[in-house]
Amino acid sequence: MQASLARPWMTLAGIVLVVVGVLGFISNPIVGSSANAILPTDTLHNIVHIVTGALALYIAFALSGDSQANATIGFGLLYVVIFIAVFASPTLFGLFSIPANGALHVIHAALAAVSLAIGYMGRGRDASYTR
Amino acid sequence: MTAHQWHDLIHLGAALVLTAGGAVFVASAWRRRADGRGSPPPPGPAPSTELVVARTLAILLVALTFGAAVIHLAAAPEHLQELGALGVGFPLAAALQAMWAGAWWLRPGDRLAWLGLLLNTAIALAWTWSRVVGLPTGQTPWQPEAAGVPDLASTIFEVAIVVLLVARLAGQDVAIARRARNLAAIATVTIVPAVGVVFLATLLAVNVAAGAHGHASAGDGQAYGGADAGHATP
Repeated sequence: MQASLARPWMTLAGIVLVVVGVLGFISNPIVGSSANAILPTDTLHNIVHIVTGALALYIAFALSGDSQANATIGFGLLYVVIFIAVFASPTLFGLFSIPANGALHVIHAALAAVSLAIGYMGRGRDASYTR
Repeated sequence: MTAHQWHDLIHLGAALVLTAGGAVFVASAWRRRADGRGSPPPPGPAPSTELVVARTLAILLVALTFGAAVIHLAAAPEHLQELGALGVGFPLAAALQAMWAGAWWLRPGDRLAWLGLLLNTAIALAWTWSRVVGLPTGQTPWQPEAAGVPDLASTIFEVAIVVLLVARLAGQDVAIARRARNLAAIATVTIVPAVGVVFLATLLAVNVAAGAHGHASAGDGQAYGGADAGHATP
């Protein structure tokens, strides 16, 4: 039997989030915290991306079967919360110095919707697993 | 190209990868679902209710306690400056909470549950006292302080810890869990966003506390925990 798609999806999501987060910390003329940097970075925003990316990679590689599918649903729910919170307050109540733009809302919405769908469809048919 | 355009470009690239990749994954998962290929059945016997509850409780308690400890640590410099000897309570509370979280993760038990219950109740009561009656030292002795984001967040965490520990000591955690039809699934689905929200709330509270300290150090008289303090990014 083939494994569900929760693993490759969580791997993709994890890599994208970690790459976007790490890019913000690399000191170079394009991305950095200096005033002359072309891309000004937001430390806390980068941390949120890296931590949630690490969480996605943990779900991808440390879990399996129904646990992985359920954790993928949980990850989707977390991003539903993040999507709503960032949509309501683009600086996340002052946490981010750079307000979220349209692309960031799309990232949050995609992570939420796809994770919920992949997790739900990846669950086994046997619902009587726990006693 | 301006800085904001670069920023937008990176986010747009990530958004494109996630939406296009997500669409492919969802379509593929839909086909597999239609073919009757879900996730493989779990290996071995099902975990017991007690084990699932203990694991879930441990993750929640450790996340909440570490969150409260980090907030106390972030608020310590300002309070040490303002309250003197009484301000030592902040790093002390942070250290005790962090140690308790580590101990609970390694060896949870009734004695440790009582210790955590007393520790977090005492910290929450001290906060209530400072907001209702006021502290004997500081800039305005015996004057109730205004509640701010960091102290509210850590107190909410401490109240949640107390509620969870009371349920654990009364045996209600397992009793409630037994009524759930698919406990392992519910536990896994809820634990991820719960820990994520605790992480985000901690980050927000630490940012506000650090911002408030920055303002206080600058000598502008900004009250601790003021909403505007959150706009100062470390």
